[in-house]
This record gives sequence, C-alpha cells and structure tokens, in this order.
Amino acid sequence: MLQDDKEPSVKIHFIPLIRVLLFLILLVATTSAALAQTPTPDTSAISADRVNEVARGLWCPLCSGVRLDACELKACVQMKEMIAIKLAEGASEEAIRAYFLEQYGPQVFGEPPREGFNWLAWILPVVGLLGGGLFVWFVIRRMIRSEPIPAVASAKSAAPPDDYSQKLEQELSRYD
Amino acid sequence: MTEMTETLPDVPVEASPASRAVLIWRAIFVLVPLIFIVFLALRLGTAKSEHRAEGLAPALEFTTFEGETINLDNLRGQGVVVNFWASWCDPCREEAALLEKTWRREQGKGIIFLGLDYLDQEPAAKAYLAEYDITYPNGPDLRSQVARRYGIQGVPETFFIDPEGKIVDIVVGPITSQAQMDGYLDKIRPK
Repeated sequence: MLQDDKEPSVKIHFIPLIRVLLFLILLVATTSAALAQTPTPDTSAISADRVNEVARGLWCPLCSGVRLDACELKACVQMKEMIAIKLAEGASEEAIRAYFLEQYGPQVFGEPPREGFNWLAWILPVVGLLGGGLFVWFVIRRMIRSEPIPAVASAKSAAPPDDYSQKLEQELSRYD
Repeated sequence: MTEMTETLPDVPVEASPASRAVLIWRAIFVLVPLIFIVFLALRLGTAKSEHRAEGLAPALEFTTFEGETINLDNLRGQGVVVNFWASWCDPCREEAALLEKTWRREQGKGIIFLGLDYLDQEPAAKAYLAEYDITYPNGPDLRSQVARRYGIQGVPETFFIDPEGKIVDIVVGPITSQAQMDGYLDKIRPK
C-alpha cells in the first residue's frame, strides 16, 4: 500500500524531467543540424566590383589567357561566387588567392611558379634580352670602328684622280 | 665593272677581337636555343610517357569531402572505377545517376567506384553529389594533380583499373548505357 501511494508522486516528478530531456534533445538536434549545414554567409553586402577586383588577379583555369573577371563560364561564375563568400567571411585578398592556389594550382595566377624547371620561363627572357642587347652593341661598335674604310681610302689616295676619272669614263661609256 | 674592282687594292682581312666576339655571340645565339629545344623535346618525351595513362595506373591519393583518405595502392585486388567530373560539367550529369546505380549494385562485389572533382568549388560539388544522391567516395582533385597524372582530356572521363592495378579502359565522355558500363566492369572484376 505504501508503495502504491508513492508511485504516482514519482510519475509526477518524471513528467517534467522527460519534457526537459525531450526539449534538450530537440535543441541539440536542431543546433547540430544547423551547424552541420554551415550556412553560407550573406554575400549581398559584397559588391560585384569588389569581387571583380579580386577576380582580376586570377585567371580562368579552363580557358587560356582569360582573366576570371572577364570569364562567363559556369566554373568561373562559381569561382566568383566563392570569392564573394570568402569576402563576406572577412577573408583578405591574399587569403583568397592562397585558397585558389590550393584548389587549382599556380595556373590560376596566370604565371609559371618560381620553382624548378619553371624558373626557365622567368630567366630566359631576361637572358635573351641581355644577350640580344650585348650582341647589338657589339655589332654597332664593330660597324662604327670599320666606318673609315681604310682600304677604300687608301685606294683613292693611291690612284691619281685623273686615271681614275678616265677609267670611270671608259667604264661608263661601255653602257652608253 | 670587273676591271674597276680589280684595280682596287685588296683589303687585308684580319680577325679583329670585335669580329671574334661577334662569332662567339652568333654561336651562343644558335647553340642556346638549340640546347633549349632539345631539352624541351626530351622533357616532353618523358612527360608523355607518364601523361596518357597506360599500363599500371599512376599513383592516386585524395581526401574525400568527408575527410577519408583514399589510396589506390590499398585497393589492389579490387576493380576500381575512377571517374573525373565537375559540377559545372553538363555531360557529367548524363552519367551521374548510372554511376551511382551501378555502384550500389556492385558494392561489396569486388568493384569500387571513386569520384574526383575536377576544377570545382566545394559547395557546388556537394550540391551536385546531393542532387544525384551519390554515395561512393568523392573528393576534390586539388591542384588537378591526379588529373594531370592520368592525363585526362576533360570531364567526364572514366578509368577502369583491374585488380592488378592496370588501366584496362579509358572512357572519354559520359557513359550512358548500363550495357556499356557492364562491359567495362566485366574486364576489371576480380576472378
């Protein structure tokens, strides 16, 4: 009897406890679902100009020689959307560039990376320019030095002007 | 005219230091590009052999969108289907459902499907995977390292690798028929 008397009071205490537990479970479930979805930040505050400003420093990874800001491919539109998201998250331009480097590799910067074999692409034009400049300089210097033409000058001075004129006349008369 | 030229005294031809330098520079200008071209040709030659995948499948390791690391070496003994795709690629959508359907049928029968997301953005890629309810391991091909190693021509492109790790078939473009897919799978089934 005594036990029978106690049972209802236990049930009464359990009901609010179950409610609290259910509430907590629901709360955890909803918040964890919300966290798992990681909603994309609001990009409405990021202007297209700001996005293009960053996109101008990047290149379409699928096209050749097209800057990201000028590219209308779906892949590029997605990239620009990602720039907007990153900017909305407060990422710096450098951080965004680093992100795209990690995703797409150095071709997204439109220039060969300064490492290994790719150094040739940076060095060769400079070497070519310097070498070409030196070559031109040598050729010009040589031309300037040989300008007096001593051989012709000596020929002129060796032959008396009259003889020379006569021979010239003779030669010319052959063509008349 | 010939007479006149004959009368002119011969100019003494001497190799001046300047002309010697010009000769050296000429040699450099010919040799340097020549060496460069030979070097490039050699490099292209070696790159080609590792570019278009033939024989043994090149190394493949990537991290899935869920954070699991997949290594092809650990999948020896199973037939492997490696599919390169992208969310922006419309032809990829033509085969997405078939790939998933076949994966579900083949799961646990010695064939594994792997998806590599090429030049894509994660949110768009995840939306694509959700849209087609794709459950086989998928991950981004960061810096297109795997794509380069396998020498893909574009997306979609699918490689069929046998249990010994050899590439048996390469399909450029979407696989749209089950019969076609089964034909490729039969060649890579473990015996």
